[in-house]
Amino acid sequence: MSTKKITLLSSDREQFIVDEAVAIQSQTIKNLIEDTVPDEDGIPLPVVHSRILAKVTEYLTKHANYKPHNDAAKEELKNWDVKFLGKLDNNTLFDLILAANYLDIKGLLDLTCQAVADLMKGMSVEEVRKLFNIENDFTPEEEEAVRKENQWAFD
Amino acid sequence: MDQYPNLPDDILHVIVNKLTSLVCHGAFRSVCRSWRSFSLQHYFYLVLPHQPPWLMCPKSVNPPSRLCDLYTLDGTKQFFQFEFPKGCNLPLLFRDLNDSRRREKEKPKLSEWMEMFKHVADTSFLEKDLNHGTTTQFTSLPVFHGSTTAYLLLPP
Repeated sequence: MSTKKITLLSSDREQFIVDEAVAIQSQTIKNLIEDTVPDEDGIPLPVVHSRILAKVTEYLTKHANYKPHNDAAKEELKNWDVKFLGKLDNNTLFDLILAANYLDIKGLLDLTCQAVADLMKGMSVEEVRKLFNIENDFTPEEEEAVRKENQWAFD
Repeated sequence: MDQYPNLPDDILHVIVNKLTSLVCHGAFRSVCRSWRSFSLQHYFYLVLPHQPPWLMCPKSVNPPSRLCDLYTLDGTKQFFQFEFPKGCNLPLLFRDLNDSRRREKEKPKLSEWMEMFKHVADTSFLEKDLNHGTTTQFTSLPVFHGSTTAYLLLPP
């Protein structure tokens, strides 16, 4: 049983010390451990801010230490994921998606992308734009094409 | 603050694949240029876990029913039911499907389709239609209970 510790270094140079088994759930970190000489302060993750890395390590720690062996345990882990997501605002959710993608953590990427898809359920286009703070950048011609396309989907 | 539209394509792809309803997907494509340019021509094809081609049979076309039987033809050969969301303009949807089937260049190889259909239904009555090139609308497939019309949905 390896209890080797790994130090991760966020973009703002904050150190996160975790078990190796926790860290290597990220394929990117696993590769970094294998292929690079570590910085003396830790493994640098220059695109992940400490605010986000804290969330990532929280997720990884839970999932590394909790191997569901029956349905009840799986259910509990699922509930934990739901609670974990519930605490995130949209900006954090977005940053977490990018971090999960960069760090190559499939479970977390799935979870956060599902959260975005769920947020969009039953929303109008205008509501989606508002939620994600997106500007409508269609030209009037494109707007017309969009309207036509949606004609059959909405009365 | 404009970070969402700039999500990388691979992430958008994951999100799109998690959208479960037609309306969701319509909304996704209608949000902004980058989301639209990412999304495929026919978002209809992205809402289900299998790739087209599919055989789709509305429970009834006239009056239009929101409930459809879907049969995957990609080798996985699965049946499932799909319900169009409330508010769908179904007559218009079915009309669009009829229009889209006229894309000549997308005609499947007839012999291949016949093989796929054989194990779900007696296909002898289909043969005539297929040989006439009307490859996307069949009548009275007995395996699809209650269906009067079937649509073949091809990849976009």
